[in-house]
Amino acid sequence: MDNVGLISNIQRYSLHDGPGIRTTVFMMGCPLRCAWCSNPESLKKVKQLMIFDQKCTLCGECVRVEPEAISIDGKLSVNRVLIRDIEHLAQSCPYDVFEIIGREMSVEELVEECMKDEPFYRNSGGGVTFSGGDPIMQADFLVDVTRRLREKGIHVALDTSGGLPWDEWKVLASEVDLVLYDLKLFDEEKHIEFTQSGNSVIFDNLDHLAMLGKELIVRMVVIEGINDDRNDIKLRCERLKQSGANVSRIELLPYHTLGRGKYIRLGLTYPLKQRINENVRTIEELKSLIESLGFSV
Amino acid sequence: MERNLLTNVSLDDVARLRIHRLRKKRLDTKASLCSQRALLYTESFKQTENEPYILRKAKAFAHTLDHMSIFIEADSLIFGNMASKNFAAPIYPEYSMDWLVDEVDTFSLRKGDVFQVDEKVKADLLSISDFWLGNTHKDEVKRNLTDDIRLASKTGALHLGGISMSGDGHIVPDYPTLLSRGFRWYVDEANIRLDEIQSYERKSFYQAVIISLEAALRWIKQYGELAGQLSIEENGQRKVELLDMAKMAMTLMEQPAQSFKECVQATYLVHILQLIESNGHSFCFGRFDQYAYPYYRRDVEKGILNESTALEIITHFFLMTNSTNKIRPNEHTKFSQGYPLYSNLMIGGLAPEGIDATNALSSLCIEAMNLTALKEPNFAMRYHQDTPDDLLKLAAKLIRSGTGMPAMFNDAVAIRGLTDLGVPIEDARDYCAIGCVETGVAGKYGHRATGMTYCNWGKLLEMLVNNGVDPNTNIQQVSINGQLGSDIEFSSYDQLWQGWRKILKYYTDLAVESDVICDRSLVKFDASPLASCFIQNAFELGKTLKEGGCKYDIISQSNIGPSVVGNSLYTMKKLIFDDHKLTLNQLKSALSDNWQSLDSAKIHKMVRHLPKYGNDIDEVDDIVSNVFESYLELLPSYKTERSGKGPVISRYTMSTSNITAYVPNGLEVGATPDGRFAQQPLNEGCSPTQGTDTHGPTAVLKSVSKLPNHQVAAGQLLNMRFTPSSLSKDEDLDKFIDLLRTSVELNIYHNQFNIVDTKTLRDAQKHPQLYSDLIVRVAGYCAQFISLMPEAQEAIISRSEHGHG
Repeated sequence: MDNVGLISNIQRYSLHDGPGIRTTVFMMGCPLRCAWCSNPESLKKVKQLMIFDQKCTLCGECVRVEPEAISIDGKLSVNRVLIRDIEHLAQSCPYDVFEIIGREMSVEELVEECMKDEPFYRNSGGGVTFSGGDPIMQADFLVDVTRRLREKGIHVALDTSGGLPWDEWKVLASEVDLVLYDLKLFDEEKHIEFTQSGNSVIFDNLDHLAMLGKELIVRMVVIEGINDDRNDIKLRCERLKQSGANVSRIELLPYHTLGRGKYIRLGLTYPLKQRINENVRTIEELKSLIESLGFSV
Repeated sequence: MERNLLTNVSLDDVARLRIHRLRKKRLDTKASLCSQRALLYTESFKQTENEPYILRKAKAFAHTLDHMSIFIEADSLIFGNMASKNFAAPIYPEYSMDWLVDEVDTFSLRKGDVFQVDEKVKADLLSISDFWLGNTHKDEVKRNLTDDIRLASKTGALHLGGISMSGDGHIVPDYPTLLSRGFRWYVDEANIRLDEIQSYERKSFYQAVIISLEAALRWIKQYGELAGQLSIEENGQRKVELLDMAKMAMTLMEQPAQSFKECVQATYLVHILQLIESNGHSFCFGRFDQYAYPYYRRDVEKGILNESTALEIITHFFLMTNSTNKIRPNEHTKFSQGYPLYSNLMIGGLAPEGIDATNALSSLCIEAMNLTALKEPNFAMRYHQDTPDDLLKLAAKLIRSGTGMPAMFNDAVAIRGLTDLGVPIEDARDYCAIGCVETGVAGKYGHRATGMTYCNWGKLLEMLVNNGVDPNTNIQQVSINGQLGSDIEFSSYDQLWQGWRKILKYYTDLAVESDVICDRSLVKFDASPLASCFIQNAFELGKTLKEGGCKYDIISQSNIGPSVVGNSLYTMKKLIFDDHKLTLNQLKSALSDNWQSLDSAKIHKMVRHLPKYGNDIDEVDDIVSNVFESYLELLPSYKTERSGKGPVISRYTMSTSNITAYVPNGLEVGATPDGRFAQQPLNEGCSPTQGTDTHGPTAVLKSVSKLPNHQVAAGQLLNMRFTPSSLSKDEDLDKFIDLLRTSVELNIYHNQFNIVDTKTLRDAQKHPQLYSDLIVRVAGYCAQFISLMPEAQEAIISRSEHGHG
C-alpha cells in the first residue's frame, strides 16, 4: 500500500491552529521526544493501544484472545509486551476498554474528510492544518493531500517541529500556505536534554523556509524553569531575524498538563518529573520582550 | 450580581440600581397561586346562565378587570398585573378544574415548577369546584375522545398537550395596527357593525368585543387613579414618573399610542389582557424592534427621548414580563419545565419589502436582554446574509454571556418554508417566532403553529419492531403484518421502512383526530374576543380565532425523536439487512434486557460503532432525512378544523419544537436499536441524540443541513452547547460569528446555544453519555469535553471558572 497516511485524530472546528475555522489532522510519528509532549499517542508511526480500565467489567472476553498477556483476577492486568494483536484485542472487548489509536487513510479519504467543512473555511478564512506528532514524518503522503486540497482552493497549514533534514520535507513545505513552526530552545544542550534531539537541523530548516519566503507563525511553548529564560528567548528571536524568515507573528503557548492522563492509558510514564506551574505573569512578560524585539505576538 | 453593558449606551447609577432591584425581586419571588380570577369568573358565570358562551366569557372577563386588585410595582416604569401578586398564577376554571382539586395539596411538593399555595386560596378553589367540574373544556374534550385515542394515550404514543386542558394562545397581536388605532377604534367600529349585521353569532362577537374592550379601557384608567394616589406619597423623580403614568393611563388606548413610552406600555398591557382572558401561553410580542421603531424615531426627533431612556423603558418592560406565571397539571408540567410562558420577542431580519430591517431598537433590545438576563421574554433574532456585522456581534456577545439567548433564526429557510405553503412573500418576510421555535406571521396566525397533539416517535419505533404491540401495556392498536401479537419478521429493509410508514400514518391520523376534538371544544371554551380583535381578519369577519377568524391557519403537531428513529432504522438496515451480522430477534432480545447481558453488550458494541446522525456521515443522515419525509408526505391529506370557514390558508405543516417532551417521552420507551438505553431521553428537536455526535459543531450543522429544513415550516429546533471559554477571546467570537454565517448558507433553520458553566461540566462528568455535544477549549484547540481525561477535565473546569471572573 503506497500513499496511505496514519492518523491519530481529526479535529474539526479547530480555532487555534492558524487562521479561521480549521480542521486539524493529527498525523502519527515525531522526530522529537519532548518531555512535555501532550500527544504521546502520536509519537510513533505505528498504531497504539490505549487502555481505559475503568470501563472494565471483568467479563473475560479479552482473556480468551490474549490469555498470556491478560488476567482478570479481581482486576484487569495487562502485560503489554505479550499482546500478540492489539486490534484483535480491541475487537474482543464488548465495553471498549481497549482502544486503537491510529487509522490508515488514503489520500482520497483524507481529502474527502477535510473537504467536509469547506463552507466554514470559506466563511472564516480557515482551512486545514496538519499537526501531530509531526506531519513531516509522513511528508510524501501529505504532499499529495496538500496538492489536492489546494487545487480545491483550501488553505493548508503545516504545524511542525522542523526536526528532520530539509530534503525529507522540502516539497511539502513548498506546497503549503503557512507553516506553524516550533522553536523550543536555543540552547542545544538543553534541547537535547528535553527533546532527545539537537536543534541545528531545526535552525537550518528555518533558513530554508526563509529562502522559500514561506509565511511562518512561530510557536514557543513556555515551560517554567526549562525554556522560559529571557536570554534563550532573545537568542531564538535574534536567530529568527537573522534567518530573514517571513514571520507574521510569534505565539506563546502556555504549558499544560492535559496530556498527562494519556501516558497512563498508553502504559507510559510522564517524562517531565518536576512540577511545573502555568505562569500567566511570565507569559505576559515574555510577550513584551518579544514585542520589544520587533515581532508581533 | 449586576451585569455589565455590552454597548456604549449610558445608563446613570439611579437607572442601573433600580434595574438591579427589579431584577433581584424577579429572581427572589416564589411562584404562588392567585384565586381572584377564578372567584370572579365563577361569580359572573353564575349570573349569565343561558347566554351565548362568548358573552359569558366577555362578561366574566369584564367583571374580573373591574374587581381584581391592581398594583403598580415600586421602581417600575411599566405597569400592569395579571394576578394579585407578582409571579402568581391565576386559575382558569372554565378550561379545567379536576386536576386543581386533585393536586392542590401537592403543588408545593413538586420536584420542579413548585407553587406555594396558602390556605385561603385552597379554600377558594374548593369552594368553586362543584360549579365547574364536568363543565370545562377538558371535560368536553374527554367526552369526545375516541377509544383509540384513549388507548394511544395509555401507551404513551400520543400525548394530548396543552390544548386538551387549557387555552391555545400562540398568537402575536397585530401590534402595528392596534397601536395606531387604540382600543376605542374597535369599540366604535363594533358598534357600527352591530347595527348593520343580522347574524346572531356575529352580533354576539361584536357585543363581546365591546364588553371586553370597554372593560380593558376602564381597567387601564384604574392604574391612572392609583398612580395619582401613589404620587402623593412620593418625591422627586418617582413623583414625576407616577404623575406621568396617571396622565397617560387616562387616555391610553382611547386613542392611538402617542409616544414610545405609550407604545411599550400598551404592548405590555395587551399582553397582560390576553393572559387574563385565556390560559393559553406563547402570547408573543413579535417583531418589537420593527413596530416600536416609528414611535422611537419620532420621539427622538422631537427631542423628548434618548437612547438611555429608551433602554430603561425596554428593560423595565422585559423585567415585567417575568412577573407573569402559569400553572399546569403535574403530568403536563414535565413537558414544559421552568414556568415557561414562551413570550417571544424578536428582532432583526428582513423587512416585508426584502431589505434588512435592523434599526436602533434592535441593539437596544439586545442590551436590555443583557441587563435583565431572565427567562422572559423568550428572546430571538432573525438574521440573513446582509445582517450587519455589528448586530451579529452584539448577539454573539449576549449568547456568550450565558443567557442562551437570542435564538437565531435563518430568514432564508423560514421565509421559503412559508411561501411554499402559499403565504405571500411580503407576509412571509414578516414572520416571527411564536413561542419557542415555531414561526408564523405576526397578527395573521390564529392558532398554535406547533404543539397540537404530541406523538412519541420513540414509542412508535418500539412498537414497529414489536408488530405494533407496546411492550409496556401489551396494547396493540395496529399490526404491521396483519397478525395479532408481537412476532414479526422483515424480509428486507424496504419492508421495515414500509412498516414504519404504516405505524406512523396510523398514529398521525389519530393525532389529527385528537387535534380536531380539542379544536372543536376550544371554539366554545377559548372564545377570546379581545385577542381575536388583534388578529387579521377576525374583526372584519366577526369571528373568533377558533371559529376561523384568522388569515393563516397553519398548524403542526409535535413529533419527538426523529434522530432516535433514523439512527435505529439505519442500525437495523446495516446490521440485519446489509451486513447480515444480526437477526431482528437477536436485536430484540438485546433490547429487552436493555443491553445488559454479555451477548447484549456485544451487540451494543456493534451498534455503538456504527455511524450516527450528527457526525456529517451521509448514509445515516439520509435516513434521518427520510424519517422527516415520511411524515411530511402525510400532511397534505389532513385538514384543520377551520378549513373553509374563513382562513385564506388552512393546512398542516411540521415542527420539531418539542419543549422538554423528549425527557418524559424517553421515560416511556425501552432500549432502542440505536444503542439508547431504556428510559433515556429521546433526542431534542432535530438535534442529534445526546451522546452520539462526536465530531464537533460543524459536523452537527452539516448533518442538519441535509434535512428538508424549509419544509419543517413551523420551526426546526437545533440546540448546541459551547463552554464559555470557547468564546471568551474576541477572535473566537469572530469565528463563532463565521459559524453563524455558514449556518445561513447551509440552510439551518434555527440554532440556539448553551454556553455552559461549571455546574454542567460537573454533571457531564457524572453522566458523560448525555454530553457528547459539549465542546470545550482545551489548549490550542477545542475538543469534546467527555473525550478528555479526567485530569484534563479538571484543568478545564478551573480555567472556565477564571473565565467567569
